[in-house]
Amino acid sequence: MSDRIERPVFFEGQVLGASDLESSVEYGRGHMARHERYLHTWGIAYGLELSGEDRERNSTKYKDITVSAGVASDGTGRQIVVPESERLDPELFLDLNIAREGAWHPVFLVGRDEDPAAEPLIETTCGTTQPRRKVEGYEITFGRPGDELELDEQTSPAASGGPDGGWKVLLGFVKWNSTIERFSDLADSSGGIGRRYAGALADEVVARGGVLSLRSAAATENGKPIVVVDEADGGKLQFGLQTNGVVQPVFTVKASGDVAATGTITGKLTTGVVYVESGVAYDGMLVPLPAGITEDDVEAGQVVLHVSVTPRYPGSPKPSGAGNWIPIVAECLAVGRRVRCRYLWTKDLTVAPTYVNGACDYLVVAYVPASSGSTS
Amino acid sequence: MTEQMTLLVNSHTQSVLAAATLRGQSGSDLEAADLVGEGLEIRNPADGQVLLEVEPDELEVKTADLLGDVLLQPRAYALVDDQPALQISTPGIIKTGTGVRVTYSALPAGEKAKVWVQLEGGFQDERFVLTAEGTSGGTSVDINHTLPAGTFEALVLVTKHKATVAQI
Repeated sequence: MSDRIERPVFFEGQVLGASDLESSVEYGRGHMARHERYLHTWGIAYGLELSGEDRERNSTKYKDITVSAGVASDGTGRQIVVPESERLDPELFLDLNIAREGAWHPVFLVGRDEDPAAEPLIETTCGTTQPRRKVEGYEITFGRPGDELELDEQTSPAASGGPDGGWKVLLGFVKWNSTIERFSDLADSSGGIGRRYAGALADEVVARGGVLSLRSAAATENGKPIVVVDEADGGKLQFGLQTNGVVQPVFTVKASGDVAATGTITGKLTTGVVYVESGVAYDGMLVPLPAGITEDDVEAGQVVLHVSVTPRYPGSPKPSGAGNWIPIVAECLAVGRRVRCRYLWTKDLTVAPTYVNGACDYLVVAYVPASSGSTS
Repeated sequence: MTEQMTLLVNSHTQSVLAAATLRGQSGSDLEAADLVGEGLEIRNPADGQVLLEVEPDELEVKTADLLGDVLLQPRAYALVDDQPALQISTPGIIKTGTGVRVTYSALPAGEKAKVWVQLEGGFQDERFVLTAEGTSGGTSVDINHTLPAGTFEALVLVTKHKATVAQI
């Protein structure tokens, strides 16, 4: 079957043809491509960052955009190497006739084989010249706005296939100014779609040194999240931010079952637990729900809410003017969670009272009845 | 640690409209809707009637060091450099042929007053929120808005002024 992988073998005295040597190269190339394709996700492995320098043309500012050197692996398993930084070509963008003013256009890196520009060539027995090398080249090109949505619809080669070309790797986005025919802006992402980085496909990851770390950034970047599975202390799982590559745990689960968190743990309400909040609240507002209780819990009947308000003395400032002002509660109640609190001040029980809105003390108790929540 | 209080302030003018304390949690974790529901009721102190309802979108939750007087009369305060400061000036409002005119005390040199007005009422019981910015050194601002016939309750907020409720 033509799809079966063939490995070249040699014997003493064999006359080697070009196809024998070519198959030796292709065997290794195909092997590597299948590894890249099926054990890794495609994307940027290193570098390939867009950066812009401010320029001016006809008194209009624009950006001269450069792609830094780097390496990517595409969905066919081809490794694409950009050996040195390269300027994005406005003429190429113009030739593609895709410009839409103000829209983000995706920038793609596409790997492809190329013949070398000149040497090394060799003269064959027929007197023609053939290249002795293929350049594993690339093209930096642009798409129409929205083309980035179709990246995952690209087709991989068959299981036994080697690396093809033509696969688009997203590097970022640019905006175009049609008046001066230059790039006006650049971005790493647009509409929630950003630069695609290479990853790993694995159902099992095994550490060798007893500590397995999962980081959102390199170990040298302090303050980034890290998850650690560590054999120390009988085995533990830790989460926190890293300092010099070491986790500063805010959440730890030990193999013994102990769980420690420095923050608040929220989850499904536990039957029989009472949640309390108290303080002072002003007329017209709602008394707050206790921490861990949401309005949805209340509306769903998951908790029974008890709200109590009591007047404060004084619950409003004394009116100006000398005399023995006496505060009297005109209204102090909670309608649902809404505070209704007014006071009147009277002087010597003879002067017409002054009404004011005021504050009251509140106590909110939320109880999770047995018919809801989970038992602990 | 200094005890904190939670303030409901108008996003446009930083006028304080209500205040509370919470023992069990930090007020900074809350959204305005958690403390006002569909709206903060502004009531007539004499009879308890709800005059206006300020929607949570117009409010921000801020926290500050506890100051007892703010809890008792929050609408006399405005945030200045993120701290509640007692205000003595009261803005005024009148209807004009083209809308409303809000009058206020001049702010310190170089500062422009931000004005926010909510009107509720009229024959068709409508609600309007109007905003404007005064000029440097100015003491009034005209806001053009065609008002339907009828009497309106007005909540008038101006930078570094007390909150004022008036009927126009």
